[in-house]
Amino acid sequence: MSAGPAVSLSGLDETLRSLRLVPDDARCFEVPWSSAERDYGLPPDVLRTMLAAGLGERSGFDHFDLLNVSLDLGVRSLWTFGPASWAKGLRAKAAVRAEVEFVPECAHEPDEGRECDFQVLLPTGWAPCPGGSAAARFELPASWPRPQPRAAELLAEFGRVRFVRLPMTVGLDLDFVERTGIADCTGGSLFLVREGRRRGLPIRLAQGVILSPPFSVLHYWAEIENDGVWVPHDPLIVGAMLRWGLLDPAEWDVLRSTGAILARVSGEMGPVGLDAGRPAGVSFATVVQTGSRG
Amino acid sequence: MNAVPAKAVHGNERTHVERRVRDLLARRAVLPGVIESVDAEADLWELGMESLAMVGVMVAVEDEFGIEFPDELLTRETFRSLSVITDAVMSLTQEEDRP
Repeated sequence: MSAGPAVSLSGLDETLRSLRLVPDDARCFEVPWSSAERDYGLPPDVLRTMLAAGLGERSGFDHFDLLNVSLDLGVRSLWTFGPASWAKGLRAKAAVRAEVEFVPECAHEPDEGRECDFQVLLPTGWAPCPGGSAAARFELPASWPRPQPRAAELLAEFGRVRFVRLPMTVGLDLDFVERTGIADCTGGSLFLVREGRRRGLPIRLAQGVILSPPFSVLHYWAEIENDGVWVPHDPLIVGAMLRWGLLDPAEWDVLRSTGAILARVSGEMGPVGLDAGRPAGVSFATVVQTGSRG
Repeated sequence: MNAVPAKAVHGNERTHVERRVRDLLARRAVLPGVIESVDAEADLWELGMESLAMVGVMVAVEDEFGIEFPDELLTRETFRSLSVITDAVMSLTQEEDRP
């Protein structure tokens, strides 16, 4: 099998150190070597280094470990497509118009012998999906106000937290975030909102999608009210994109809003799709209209 | 003198691109056991292709042909069938061939 293009290994040690902070019992070594190379774009020398660091077994690797190494090394794969697309979206100079089609997936067993009964959570509330999907349109400004000083202080502090994709059991553990200084968007946004509220700031949680046409992904971030406008803030992702070299540090810092690519659906952390009342996975087919994403 | 009509050359090229797309999807394990022989017009979504797999297809096709899908082609429709993917690849490679 081809090893693929050469991958710069600078920063791999730091990535592996971060991943060692994740408890071993949260890992599931079920991705075989062949898939780790093909689907995550990781060459054999990287996989051997992971193995030597205890992040893998002869049988295979953990999905989240592979994903994080892939992201930090900047290899090209289906898993790293998203951040590159976010960076394109953030270069938009004009408002971004997006149509997101919410496509729910069956949540019942094939032998239950019944039809799906879907609902999806749109910005306007729960909506039925008689045709199998429902769409929402968003118009997202390209530029947003800078934060007030106290909010800026919070964002700058939180911006030092390192973004790491985590298994859900770990990602939602706010003590883990505080103890390790690493977080994903779930625990990170909850932590930021909790800390902001503790300081008396007007801050709220947002659940929605981070735009990456043709398919966006579910995401969480914080919004801070500024002169009557709820401004989306995602310092975790900005910090990661700066680390990955996807944003220009001359133009970007963790205080700057990424609202051009954040489409809010609700203020709760919960399912966005239901099948006969059961939580259902949802994919977000996305078309973006702007002439300046390239 | 060119003995092969231009239309036939175009047809051969299309067949070649379509075969490369099909082989690529097979190597990426997209719809294994199906993609190898499925009709070029068959709807890959109806056959069970998932959104994540489609993103993998998109990245792999860009790498294979040295192209980048513009925003207007980043839709589910572009990846509906081998035939539509082939159309997109041919339109983008022909664009890049222009001076």
